[in-house]
Amino acid sequence: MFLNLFHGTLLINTISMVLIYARWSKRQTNFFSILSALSLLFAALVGWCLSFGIEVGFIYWFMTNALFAWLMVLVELGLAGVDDKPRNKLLRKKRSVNPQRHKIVREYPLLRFHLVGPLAFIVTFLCCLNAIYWAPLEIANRWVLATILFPIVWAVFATLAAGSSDIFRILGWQLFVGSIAFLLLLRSVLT
Amino acid sequence: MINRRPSIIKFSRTAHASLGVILVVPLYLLSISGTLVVWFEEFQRWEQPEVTEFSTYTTTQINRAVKQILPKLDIPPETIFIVLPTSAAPRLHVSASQQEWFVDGQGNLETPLATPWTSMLMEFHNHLLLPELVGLIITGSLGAILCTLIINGWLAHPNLIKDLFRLRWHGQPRLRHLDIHNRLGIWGSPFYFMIALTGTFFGLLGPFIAAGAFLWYDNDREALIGQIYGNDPHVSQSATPVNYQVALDALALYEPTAQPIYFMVQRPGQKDQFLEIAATLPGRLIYSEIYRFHSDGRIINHQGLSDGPVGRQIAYSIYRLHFGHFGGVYTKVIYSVFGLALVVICVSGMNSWLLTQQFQHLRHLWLGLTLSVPIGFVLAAIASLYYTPTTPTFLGATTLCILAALILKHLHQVRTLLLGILTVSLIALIASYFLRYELHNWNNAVWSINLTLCLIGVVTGTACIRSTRSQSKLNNSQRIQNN
Repeated sequence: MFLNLFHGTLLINTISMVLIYARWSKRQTNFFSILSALSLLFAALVGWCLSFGIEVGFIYWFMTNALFAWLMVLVELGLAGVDDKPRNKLLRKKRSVNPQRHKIVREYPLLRFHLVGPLAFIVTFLCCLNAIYWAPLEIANRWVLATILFPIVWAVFATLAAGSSDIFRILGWQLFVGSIAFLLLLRSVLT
Repeated sequence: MINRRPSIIKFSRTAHASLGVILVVPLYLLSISGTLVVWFEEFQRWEQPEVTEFSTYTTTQINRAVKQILPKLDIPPETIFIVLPTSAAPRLHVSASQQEWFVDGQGNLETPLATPWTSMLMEFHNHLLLPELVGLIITGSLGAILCTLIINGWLAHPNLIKDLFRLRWHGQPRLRHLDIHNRLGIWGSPFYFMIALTGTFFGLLGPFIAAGAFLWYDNDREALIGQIYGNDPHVSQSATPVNYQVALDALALYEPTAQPIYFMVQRPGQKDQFLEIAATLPGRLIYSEIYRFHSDGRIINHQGLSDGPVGRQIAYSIYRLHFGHFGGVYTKVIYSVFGLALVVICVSGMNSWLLTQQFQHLRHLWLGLTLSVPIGFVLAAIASLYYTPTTPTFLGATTLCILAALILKHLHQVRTLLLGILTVSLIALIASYFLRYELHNWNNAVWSINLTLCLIGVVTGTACIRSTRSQSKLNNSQRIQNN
């Protein structure tokens, strides 16, 4: 069954990716034409996956569409040769020589490191422990929800801390969220 | 998704660049080791090719093996594991109290498990050779950071749809690296996201359980784990010895599609002894369902890993999903390709950043690191063939190569030297293996791995020769200019 699933998914992905590529290569890069091809890909795959069990089907989908996209990239390289339209050269040149480009990152590096790493870890950990305690789900589901939530919540905190120019505002937010999470956790222990 | 504000793009790009540059080294180490770990069963077979292999087993074999293992243990074990042959690892082995032996066709204990290189590789991937708990938290956190990089990487791309197939292979080096990084990153991102989520789960479930047990279960972790994964059955009177054949027959009636992969004899020889059979179910990603039996082979119940709460099913599916151990060898190949792609993403991302910077030493360090890790793995494999400790060999070789990279004056010298060392190491590894094990011992895993090593050797050798030629061309042109 695995092999049937594998070949079937490969087939669907191939057709879909060729479709997307064909439209793209004709430079019909309007949003709806691509969306229609992508929709076909998604709809066909979801239907296919559900018939075999969602957990098995989706992982094949994750893997195979990317492989075929890469095959298409190689096809493009082989057929069309070299690249194409250099866009916005001036802007790119300006960016590459601009010494201020990474200025934000260089401000308060130690504080930023703590906001992205240890503090974000602690705050996220507290938030997820709250999810384990308060989420209205069965206990096994709560634990899995928390471990899946963890990287996503951390991603939000880390992105904000790494990219923001107003780092003290992010520090304030992290402390505020952390305090609320800590108090809720304290309440869960005391009750 | 299509029309994002420039401020969001700029913000995400800054976050992506700063996080990526800071954490690229551990991410590279995890990616390269993860690519290899997918094949850990094959590597174990490669390290011990003399072990008897077979695809079927009998309960007589199991009984004899269990009888022979008990006198070898100093203290009565809590559990005896009997791991059955599979297509990926067609070997029967028994283990108890952290001792493990392979079993021959008659059920006699053959040779202890001794796979130092594979163990080092797995420790490297699981906890970066650090103390286990600290290492697991770090690798779990790196999984979370990888999720962060994927999310802000998507947001940082201004023309996501328009550039779906864009690759400026012959353009400026920085643009080439950037395009490789972006295309591989975008197309592979669902897969990397899954790898990052499941990796985080492995790393951080332990701290979550420790914290949860401390807060709400009076520090009783067993009680908490029982609630998540299902509790053990209560058996009061048990017959000995265990009747494996009756249990297998009962399993065939209870769940005809189940394929046993290992047995666990819990609390052997005691009053509350019972047998557990872990079995895979077709079309399911869960590692196994566990069926419980009395010692006389009567069924008690199953743990509910395949039909219990959704969370339990997901938790038990994480292993196969993360390591690609489902669907046979095809899946492993695809996982390796994507693992390798993640390595390329790390390298190309860092290269494109370095090309905008003036730090020459950092370039040497980065090139030295990227090439020294594979050299370290190859030299550690040679060391394992001659019973030399693998971890010190790996760390020593890696450090020396990085130092050499820092000492050399030009970047192309570093590249040529390290590629040369890698090629020579690969040739030495294949030659050592050939001398150590006779050809008739080689199983299909050994052939596949050795042929792949030859192929990698050809690739690195060619790259080394090309690097040398371009270096000499450069020298010649400089000489002409000077004259």
